[in-house]
Amino acid sequence: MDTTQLLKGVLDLAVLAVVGEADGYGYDIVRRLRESGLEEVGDASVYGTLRRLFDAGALTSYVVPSEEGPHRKYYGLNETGEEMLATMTKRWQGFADTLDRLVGGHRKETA
Amino acid sequence: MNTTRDVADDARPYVEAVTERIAGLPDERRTELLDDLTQHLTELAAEAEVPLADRLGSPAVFADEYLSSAGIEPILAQPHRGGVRVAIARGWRELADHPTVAAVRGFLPELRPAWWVARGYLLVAAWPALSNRAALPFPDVDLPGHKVTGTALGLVAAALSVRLARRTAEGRFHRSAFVANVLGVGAALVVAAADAPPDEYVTAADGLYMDASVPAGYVVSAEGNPITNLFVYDAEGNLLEGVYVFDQDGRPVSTPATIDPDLQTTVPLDADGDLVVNRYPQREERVFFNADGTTELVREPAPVPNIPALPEPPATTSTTIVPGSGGVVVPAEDGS
Repeated sequence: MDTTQLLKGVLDLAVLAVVGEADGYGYDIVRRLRESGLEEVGDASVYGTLRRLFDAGALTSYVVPSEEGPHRKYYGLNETGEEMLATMTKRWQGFADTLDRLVGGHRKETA
Repeated sequence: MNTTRDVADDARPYVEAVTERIAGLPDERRTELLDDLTQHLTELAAEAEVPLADRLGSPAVFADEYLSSAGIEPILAQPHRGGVRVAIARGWRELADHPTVAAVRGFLPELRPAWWVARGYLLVAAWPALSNRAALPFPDVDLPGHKVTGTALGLVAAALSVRLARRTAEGRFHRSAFVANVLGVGAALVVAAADAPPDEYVTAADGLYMDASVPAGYVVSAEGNPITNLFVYDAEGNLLEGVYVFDQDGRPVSTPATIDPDLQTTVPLDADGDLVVNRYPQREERVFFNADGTTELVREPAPVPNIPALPEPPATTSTTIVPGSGGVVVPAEDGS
């Protein structure tokens, strides 16, 4: 199955989860998503998603000056973001359980 | 725009691809998006271990992906769908950024106070222009019957307009200022349309107005009326036929043909076949087809004009107009 298509539906949740763990800047968020197993996630998709979540009022942002490289724009969850993350997590778990049961039943039958 | 100023060279094509696709967005939103993107790409350029092109792919694909993830309306994001709108927006921006246009734009704020004054004055000046389309030389404000009042009102309106502008600069009355600007432009158009002399008059070289329907070259009386024929009477009131008329330098006086489209002027020829143009009255005829349905051409002499009664003959005294006096009349010495 093409994981890119699967990712599109859950990228908001994945980004909110990563930012919920710890504030991060664009490159850092992409790197953490990839390290957690979503290797096919694209920079453009993550940057766009950050922008959209910020526009939706789910994220705060602040710039951290850097002496070595460029200043970094960090994103963090605000209250709306936390609520959004909680709702989406709940919805995802229900959806995942359903699929698990489906796939589990199929596994039993094929076993 | 400072969006691309600090971005690494290899990131620039990606910013430009996005810039092109969001040309139709409002300025503020565009700047916001591009600043955000520039920030990401600058971080990426500084930290990624592979060249940006290897990591990000083609700028076009990157831009499409970025905008769709950001939830930007496709009609604004895709130039082939919003082609005309995007092209107009881009053309407009390029024009606005042109050095000459930028220089003019830089100069315009200095003209603002002049516009504030003109705006108020024009609003009053347009009033008589709307009521009658008479010639209205700006800055005269000729309210019906009261030119002085009109001009005073114009000055007051100008002062109020300046006051409004200063209040607007303090952050108030923006809507009123907008309305005043729109009305001011409208008034300027009205005044400009009325300012030209009415179409039916043209100015003669000698300062007289003459009817514009008189073609150039026509003999015109001192009162400005076109002369197309001359009728000469003797002292007894008899119309003289075949009179030759010359001017003060002995040149034949010729009147061009009648301007009445229904009349036709016929001028005789001399022995050499040349036109005799100063023999009066010239023959004027109305030429038309017979009304009984036949194609017979009818020539009907134009009627001799009615003239006022001649002075009682014989005159025993004459008058002399003093040369160079502009028309001073003195009685001549009685020879008896």
